[in-house]
Amino acid sequence: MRKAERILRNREDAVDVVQSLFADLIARREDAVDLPYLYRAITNRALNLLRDAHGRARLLEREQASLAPTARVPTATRVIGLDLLGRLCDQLDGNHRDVLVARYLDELTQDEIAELYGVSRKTVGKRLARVDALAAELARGAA
Amino acid sequence: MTAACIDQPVSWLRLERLALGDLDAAGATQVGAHLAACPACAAAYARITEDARPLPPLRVAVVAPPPWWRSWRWTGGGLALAVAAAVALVVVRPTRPPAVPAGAVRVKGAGLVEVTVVRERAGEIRFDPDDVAPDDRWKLQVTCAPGGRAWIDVAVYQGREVGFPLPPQPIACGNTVVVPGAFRITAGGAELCVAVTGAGPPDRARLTAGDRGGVVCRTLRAAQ
Repeated sequence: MRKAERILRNREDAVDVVQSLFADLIARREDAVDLPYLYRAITNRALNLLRDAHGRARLLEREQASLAPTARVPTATRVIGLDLLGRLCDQLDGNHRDVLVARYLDELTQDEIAELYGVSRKTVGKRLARVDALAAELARGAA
Repeated sequence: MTAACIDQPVSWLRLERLALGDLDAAGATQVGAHLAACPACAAAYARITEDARPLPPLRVAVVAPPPWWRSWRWTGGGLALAVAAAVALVVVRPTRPPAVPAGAVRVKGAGLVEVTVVRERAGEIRFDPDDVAPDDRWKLQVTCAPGGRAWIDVAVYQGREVGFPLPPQPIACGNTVVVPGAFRITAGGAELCVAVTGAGPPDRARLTAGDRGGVVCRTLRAAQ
């Protein structure tokens, strides 16, 4: 639930995403899921909502600042707002979106991201570099 | 809310695992030492431990009487079967595709798709209701044969206005699959239509134009 809130920035949509996930899990009779699986599944569902133009407009309307990530990452790295997150999602593929959320919203280390998604640390580094470059480009464009 | 960590922050996943007691002893000790020295991560951990909110409870549903075709299947099944057998003996007719019951559509790739509209009003859940109030929360359930896939889109018609409160989305068929997302209908009575397609998202231009092919609609009057 907290994870969904960090992406969507409002409680109502976060509840919907979490409840629909659990409804599907119950329907599929899957009861042996762990926290990393739930993290990945919530990321997918929340980003699908954010990527839809109508869903994004509603999320921006309902955005609650108190649900933003804590931004504990060192000052050299950036804080991703909901609007920028949406624009990044428009231009990144699924693998890069996963890394984006894991790094900047869930504040996972590169090793943790590699383990969560079953890829090498080098791959995570490359994807993060692409995310950073695009975020910088979009930020420059917005300025 | 910005509070920089003293070093590499402990991830939310790791903090959640600590709160759940899911970390091994070495991991818990390592995270504990970091939290003792880092106010930012300690504050994040406090956010987790102080946030023991349950999801909204599932309430007992108020179920509308089942449509005739469902009760017929169970309660009148034997009688109906006898009648059908008698008719079959007397009349030989070419076979026709089975009729599609109200509240359902037949689409390629998913077969018969039955749509249920769910309303939550002040904590009370009602299926396929007839009226709408501005504070009602609406969701959809879909039932179709497992293995199939369908696309679902919702259109709300009010006068000449048509709105699409949810993104079109694909669902994997099953029994009472909950369509992700909820919405509200403001400004009084409406016609709530659910478009179902097999291959790709429903055509919103057609829906806007009022095309009702492959669409299940329900008229909702404004609640008194």
